[in-house]
Amino acid sequence: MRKFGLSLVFAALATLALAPLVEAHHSVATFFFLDKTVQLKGTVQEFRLVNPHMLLKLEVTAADGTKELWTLTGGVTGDLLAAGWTPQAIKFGDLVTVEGAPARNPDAKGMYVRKLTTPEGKVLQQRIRD
Amino acid sequence: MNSSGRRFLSAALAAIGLTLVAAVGVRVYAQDGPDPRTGRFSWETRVTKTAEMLGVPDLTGTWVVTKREHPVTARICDSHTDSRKLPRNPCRFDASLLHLTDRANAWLNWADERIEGKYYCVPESIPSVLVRAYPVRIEQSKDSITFEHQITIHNTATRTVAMDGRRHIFEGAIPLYYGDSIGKYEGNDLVVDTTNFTFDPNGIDYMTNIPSSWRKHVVERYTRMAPDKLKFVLTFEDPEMMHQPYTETLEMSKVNFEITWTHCDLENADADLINMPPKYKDTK
Repeated sequence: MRKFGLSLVFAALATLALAPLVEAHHSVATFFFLDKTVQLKGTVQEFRLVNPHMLLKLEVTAADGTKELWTLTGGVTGDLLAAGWTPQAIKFGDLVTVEGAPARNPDAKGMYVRKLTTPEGKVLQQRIRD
Repeated sequence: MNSSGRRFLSAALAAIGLTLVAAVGVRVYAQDGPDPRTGRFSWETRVTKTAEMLGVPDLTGTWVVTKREHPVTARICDSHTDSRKLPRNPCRFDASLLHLTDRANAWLNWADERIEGKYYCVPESIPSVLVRAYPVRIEQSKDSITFEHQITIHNTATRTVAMDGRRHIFEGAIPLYYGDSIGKYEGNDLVVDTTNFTFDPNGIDYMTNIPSSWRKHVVERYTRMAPDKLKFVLTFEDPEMMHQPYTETLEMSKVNFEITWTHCDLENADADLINMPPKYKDTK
């Protein structure tokens, strides 16, 4: 049991080490609740790998069945390309699962994405420089 | 051969010529010593020789800040907030060491992210960019020195420092975002003096809305301490925003990194603003 616990710790540390530390051009903490995490599942409507931030638009089906458009942001091109966040990995129409810090503005459907799982089960990550 | 044939042939020859020039240029640029086939020194070495020929310190190369006298942490950044008390990190400077005037603090409380140039792809201000660990390529020539800052989050920014003995452009001239820089060698040091800045909403700390006025004055002093180390002393003042000048000593290390052009997407630069609660009610 102890060995299993240690393995989990090492796995978590390895994941953290693999996730790139991403740059931002403003204080991320001013825009997002970095101490909270939300998870969403939606289809990719747009993925732009640009500076100063990547842009990922997801169509998400809400609990009442209505469609919502979420706009997710993240790190910069160089950091993300190196970590596998490529247009080949994230394609239009893909059903993906994302996790990240929710927007401070309650009227915005926004998130600073930390983790994305592709339909093939590939996990892409990034750490926010906070 | 008719005229369209001649035009096609000329275009083809020009394309081949340009390809060859580019290929040779890239090869020479990437090489440090003399080319083994021609025996000629590479472009890089010739620039270094220029510094030797002029009898000035050789600072040419790509450098990155690796140590700061006053490093910042999330706790330091968060300790200086605006009227909404939202966390503001990362930051570039410990605000408690800047000795800000009431005017600067009032601006900090009033200012809104939305009006900042960064949301229109304006590059990181000086002195903010100088303490960040972005690679900077320094190129020395007889009459000027260029500093090419690869700001990974925005456009690459180039500053040119006049080394021909000129004085600052006269007071009242059109101010410049990166100011008017003149430089000189003092013994083993390169000293760059910059004035004539525009007013800048985040001209002292690009990340935390600490502004700078027309009176901002920045002095950079670079000393080569070892083949791969520079001592960099940064001093800046702004009597409108700071009660006294700020000085910090930094260490820069030479890196094997080729500066490339990074691009800020204007259409996407302000996309994040929606995620922050609007500070003013009339904000759309």
